[in-house]
Amino acid sequence: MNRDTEDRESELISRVSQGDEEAFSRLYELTHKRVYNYLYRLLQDKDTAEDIVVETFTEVWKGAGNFKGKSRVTTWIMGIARNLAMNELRKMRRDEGIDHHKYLLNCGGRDTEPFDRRRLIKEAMSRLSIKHREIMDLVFFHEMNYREISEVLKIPVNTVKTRVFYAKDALREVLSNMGVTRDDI
Amino acid sequence: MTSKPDELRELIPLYLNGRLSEHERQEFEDALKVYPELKHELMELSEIKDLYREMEREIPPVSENLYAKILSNIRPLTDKEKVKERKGYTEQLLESLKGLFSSPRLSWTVVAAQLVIILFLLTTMPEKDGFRTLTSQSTSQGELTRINVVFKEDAREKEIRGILNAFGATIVSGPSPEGLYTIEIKEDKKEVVLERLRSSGIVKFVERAY
Repeated sequence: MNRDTEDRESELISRVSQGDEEAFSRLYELTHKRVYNYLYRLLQDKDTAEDIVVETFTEVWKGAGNFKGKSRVTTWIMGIARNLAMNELRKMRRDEGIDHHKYLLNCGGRDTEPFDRRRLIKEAMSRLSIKHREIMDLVFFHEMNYREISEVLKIPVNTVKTRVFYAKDALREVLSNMGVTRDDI
Repeated sequence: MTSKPDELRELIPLYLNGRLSEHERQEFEDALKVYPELKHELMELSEIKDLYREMEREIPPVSENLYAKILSNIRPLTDKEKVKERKGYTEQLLESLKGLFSSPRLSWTVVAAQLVIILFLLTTMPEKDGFRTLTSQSTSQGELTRINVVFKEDAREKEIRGILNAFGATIVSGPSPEGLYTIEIKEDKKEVVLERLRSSGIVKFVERAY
């Protein structure tokens, strides 16, 4: 994201805080796809992701005046989306009555489908815990730097750095549980 | 190359995302020749990044009516806010109070508090004083009685005032052209007052008014 985009987003959020609906529409156009993609990857469900997008932008409209400019506008919006998504995930886990993390990590066994390295890695990624999947998404999908990720997740930069590699190690472990060794990939 | 392997490792995601400066990138690529493990890790993460590019294409597109849903969420807020701006301070205050008391829980709390206050007053107020609301007369009408009295021509104003004050009487009307006063006294003192007035020597006529 270049400086011009950042400045434009800052100007838009300032106008939104004064109730400017046109600025809000413009801000939505600039950011919603990124927010939706993030939510979809996290929640793995289109309808739920869209519901959270609606909630997120409603919060943006109501809380634009609270934006202090300490981070990028997109990072601030992603932070709102993440909070709402985490609440939703907690609700979903309560409803399901299972520990989703453990479930995902313990799903083992090589698939019966023909061996396909890329497909296997994708499958393994979907079996990662939400925490690990999320950090991989933010790094490799959203191409955020460590500082931006720390602002979205509200954790120290050093924790972000270590979590990326823990996530990669966890991916290797899931692949191993699926019967794929490091040499296979 | 002065960077430690762990520090170089942290640079992999930034290298893959093109977030390193030219100088940092060059240093990193030099390190790849020295540390085979770093290169292996780079290949692993590079493959993951490629997969993300594939997965992006697999994400279903956003529904076209999504923005309309957001608008329907924020428009009621917008309208409410505009109405609020038009209203004066007093109206806003009244509306806030109305909102406050529309809570059933709060209403019941207020009712309970009032009941406690009433019970407290009933148990602590001296019985003889009774209760009086702000709109009532200074004393309950039921406890008073009226008396018609005509004083003698030679009765002085000081004597009349003295006797009336002694009974706590109030002049309700009079004097009429015939010298008739109607006074009000407490019902329970009626007989005593009538007797005292008759024997005072300054009263020509005294009788209970009906």
